[in-house]
Amino acid sequence: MGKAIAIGATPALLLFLLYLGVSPLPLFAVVGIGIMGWWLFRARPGSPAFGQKKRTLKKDSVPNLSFENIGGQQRSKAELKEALDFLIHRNKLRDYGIRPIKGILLSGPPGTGKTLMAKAAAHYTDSVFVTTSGSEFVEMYVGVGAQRIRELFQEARTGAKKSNKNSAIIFIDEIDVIGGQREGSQHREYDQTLNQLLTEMDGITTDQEVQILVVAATNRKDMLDSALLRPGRFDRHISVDLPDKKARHMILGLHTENKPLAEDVEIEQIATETFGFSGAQLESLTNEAAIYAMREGNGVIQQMHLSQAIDKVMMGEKTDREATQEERERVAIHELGHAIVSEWVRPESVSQVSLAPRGQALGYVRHHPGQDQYLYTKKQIEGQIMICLAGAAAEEKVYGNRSTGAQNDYVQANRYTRTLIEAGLSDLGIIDMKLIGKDMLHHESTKILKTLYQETVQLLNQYATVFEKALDVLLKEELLSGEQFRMLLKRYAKDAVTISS
Amino acid sequence: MQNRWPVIAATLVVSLLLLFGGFYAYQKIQIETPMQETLTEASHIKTYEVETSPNHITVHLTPDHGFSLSKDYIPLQKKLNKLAHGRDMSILIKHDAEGELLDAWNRINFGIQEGIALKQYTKIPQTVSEEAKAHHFDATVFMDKNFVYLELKKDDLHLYRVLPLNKQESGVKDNG
Repeated sequence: MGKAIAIGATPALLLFLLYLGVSPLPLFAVVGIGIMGWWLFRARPGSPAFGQKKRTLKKDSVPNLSFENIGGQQRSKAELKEALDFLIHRNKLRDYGIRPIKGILLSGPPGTGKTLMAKAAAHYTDSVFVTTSGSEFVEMYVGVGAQRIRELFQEARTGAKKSNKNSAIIFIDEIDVIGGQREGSQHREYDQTLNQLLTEMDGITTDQEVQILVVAATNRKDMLDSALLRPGRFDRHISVDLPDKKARHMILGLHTENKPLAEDVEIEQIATETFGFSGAQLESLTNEAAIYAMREGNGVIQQMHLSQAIDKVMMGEKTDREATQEERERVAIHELGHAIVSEWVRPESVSQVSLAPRGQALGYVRHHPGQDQYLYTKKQIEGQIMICLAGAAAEEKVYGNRSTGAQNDYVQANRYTRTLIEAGLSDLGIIDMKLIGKDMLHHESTKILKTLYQETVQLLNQYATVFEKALDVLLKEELLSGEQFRMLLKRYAKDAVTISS
Repeated sequence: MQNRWPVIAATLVVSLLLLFGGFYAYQKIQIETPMQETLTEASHIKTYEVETSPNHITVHLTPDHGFSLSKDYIPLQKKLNKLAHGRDMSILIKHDAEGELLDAWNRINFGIQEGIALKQYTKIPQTVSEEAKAHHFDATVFMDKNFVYLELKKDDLHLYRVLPLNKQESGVKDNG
């Protein structure tokens, strides 16, 4: 109101001064000096000084995003909704003498939609939404963090009063920055910030005019201070996981809603092929697919574009790395090794063998992930290890030596071996990793890898002709589709492909 | 911001009304009306008009035959000056009855300007009286600290001039 009056009165005053023949410049100078003085006077640590952005991203209104707009996460959504119902039915709470929920902690891998959940929560409860992130409390001045927490809560309260809402949601992203475990004397400043947050959260009661709910998000829940996690602070811990196939299907559906899709596009298949993708990655996938379609001047997004986009999101953009013919051959042999063993371990699993360099890789084999799987048997892990080793084995079979290209494969193979040992699936039996010497682990690990490597080499020996034939196609076309590859395999394999159990 | 526009517009209009209205009212009540009253009361003035602008006041006068610079003009100017509240003021006397006196003025102007410029003020009445004698009209000339006042009369004709003594650096100047 005051601002509006000032804005209206200033031009009137200027006009009047000009009419009187008084130059308004001295007046401007005086007002300018006045404002500057005011800023400097106010610019104590913590207040925004000249050129600084205001501390929090204030949202005057309730976000326009509902739970329906978030794909998947049915369980997390249900859990969150239930917690939010406490905010909506406040009177009922009072009747039962229930203490209101003060905080909800959302934890999960990056890109799974924690921020979206918080926004939807604000929409669901019709609350004012104030968002900030942990790093905004970090400043070179001491005491700023604590002051900002105070201001944040104050802002949420006044914001809610201004827009006639009786609840406000404060969303603190990446809370692990300030909420990390307090130990030693290294981070006294963060301690103050955390202490202030704890006290502010303690001060929340139902009697207050505006009820504040703190929603925090982190992907390092294990790092958080126990004082934050205890009941009465963040009462509910909701984990937001990577989406399963159904959820991925739904997320892809949401993100392709506004994009022109060809009729033959099978979202179902894309959802199957994107195991382990987060919501953000799926969003990026649809976006990249649309970009590919646009680049090609295609009116609609086709399956091919989506398929390319999966490669892009997983492996990075195609690079212009020029490889020599020799190198290309070696890469092709290497990838074919992977593909053959992969097909032997799990038939129909190879989706594409490519020689086009992408990201760090000079070539790659894309697999159909099959069903979402969370449990593995010993046999399955061994199969995975063999797939990893197959590249190097193929090189050795053909050239009689190996190259550095298999480095990354070994890292993966070692990880699988470790899983085998840790899970008690190795010859060592069920063990406590802490009590086992490194030598022993190394010994066991080498033994497993050696055995599997021998098996892999033997296996590849059966497919010498396939190598030759597939190599020709791959070098020419740079790309071998799963079907093409399987046809070659059927035609030239010495024995029929045995399906392992 | 959306709902602030009406407030801004209303403030603008009200401020303009207050500032300009107040200023015009002040001018009317404090300056124009008292001046008009003074001019009505003054003798030998046929018509008058007061023009005001934020930093200047112009008074247009049409005197009658009996108007005298010494008896009427100087006291009137003093009074009006007081009422102008520090604003610049000019009094313009309308010359609708100058006739042949204008020729006489053109002739004596040389002498007067020379007298002022050379600070030989006695030259002024001398020039004026010579001219008056030669062409048979009444002439009154006198001066005070700032001005030389000249009044020429013949039958129904009259001519009034008020010339500043400390002219800006222009005109005839004695550098010797």
